[in-house]
Amino acid sequence: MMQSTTTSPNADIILQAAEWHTQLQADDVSDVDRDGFAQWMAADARHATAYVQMEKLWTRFDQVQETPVKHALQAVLKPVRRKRVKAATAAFCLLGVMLAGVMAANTLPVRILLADAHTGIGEQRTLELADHSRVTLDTHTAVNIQFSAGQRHIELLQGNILLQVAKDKQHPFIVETAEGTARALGTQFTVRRQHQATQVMVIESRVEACAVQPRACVTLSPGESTHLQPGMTPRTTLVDPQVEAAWTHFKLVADHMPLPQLLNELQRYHAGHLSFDESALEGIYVSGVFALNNTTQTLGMLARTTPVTITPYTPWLTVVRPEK
Amino acid sequence: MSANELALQQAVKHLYTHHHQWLRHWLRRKLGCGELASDMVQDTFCRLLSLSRADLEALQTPRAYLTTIATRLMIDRSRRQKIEQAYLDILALTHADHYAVSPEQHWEVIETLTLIAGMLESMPDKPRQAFMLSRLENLTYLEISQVLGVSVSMVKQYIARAMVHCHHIIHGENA
Repeated sequence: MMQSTTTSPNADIILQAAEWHTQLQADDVSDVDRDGFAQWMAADARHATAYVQMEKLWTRFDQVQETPVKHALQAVLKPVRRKRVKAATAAFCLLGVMLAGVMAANTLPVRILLADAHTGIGEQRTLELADHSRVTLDTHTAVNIQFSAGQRHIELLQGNILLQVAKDKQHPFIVETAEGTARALGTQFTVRRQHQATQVMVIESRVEACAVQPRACVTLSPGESTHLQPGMTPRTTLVDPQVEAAWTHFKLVADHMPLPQLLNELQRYHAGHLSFDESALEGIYVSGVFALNNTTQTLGMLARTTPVTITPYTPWLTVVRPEK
Repeated sequence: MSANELALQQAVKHLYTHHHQWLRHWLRRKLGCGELASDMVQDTFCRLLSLSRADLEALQTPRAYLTTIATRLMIDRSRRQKIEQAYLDILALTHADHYAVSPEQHWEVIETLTLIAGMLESMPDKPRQAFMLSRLENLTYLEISQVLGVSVSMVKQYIARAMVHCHHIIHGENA
């Protein structure tokens, strides 16, 4: 039992090993340092053990130097813990954050992180606003909410929202995206932002939808929908509101839907990556009601009912291929 | 040595017989998934094998201890999922060719990232900043001293402290 205490390095030795390792990486490392290190290594077998452990530890970080891996690490690491920041420096830090915010305002991921409300993948959330209007956020959605001086304004950064607007004739309720606005007095409608296009769909009452470029508006009645997209004059199309808003019950209704389109929809709710070749799946159509709150189960069902094989490699990577 | 191992296995077996069903229920309530709960029960008891027999026998409140381990495992798991998602998001954003990577390599990257994120998250701020600037951004100690506004010898102390911290996590604090 005593054996382990004599061969494994103690806290002092571990600190010394860390200090030597740090010194030997320095630009100003001298021959005196190297001699000193050689002597230290020879003095005790535990010194060498500790030093080798330090070297192994150091090389573990090699993998993280690749850009995507490094960025992923930076994305998950929490910023400097607030508790440690003293009140006096907090204001200064806040200024720094605001400056950083201004500089980064054009990069979408940062804007989404700073959004007033957002949902993760597979998550939905309903918020009650100051005027008792309700906004339901679909999976992977981010919004900014501005309710001041009678103004009712929501900015949709990404994703899909359902609005149940409380009636207030004095103050129009406006949803804004990069592509345009949807304006209502009291109604139910959805706004979805995807691939630089915004879709507005009305369930109840009326909504005015306006594109930014070209500046043009359409008025939508229940069961009508429009796409706001740069360079396109908005047109009205007829849709089934029950089908379009089925996501609010974590359902997707497909009627002869191309399989890739269904997979793209499922991807929005699925935490792992769905990998498939769109052209290889051409000609496969699906119909039915699909559950969005258990995508793994839905994928399993697709594998049984359509001519594809679905192989999960890890919970985070699933490959869909046509059956041979 | 083997008698000792046998005794340890006996002690774990004893705990398993008396508490695994209860732990499974507890995890099932937390996770809302029976299959996952069963997996985590196995993982929790696997962790027990790394304890000494004396420690195991001295356990006053085995259930509290089991839930502590299980909670830690659940945190690890959610951290891993977050990391995986961040990694996939960045690959998608940069249009990196993810499919040049085999599932095994992918798994390994996430494994390493999870370990490293765990080490860095629990590190005090200054050592962490100094260490990351050195190890990930390849800045010299002089450059780091300018970024952080401290002396070069302070930078070296920070980095050595960071290394000690990582060592504790990998090899255990009582080493």
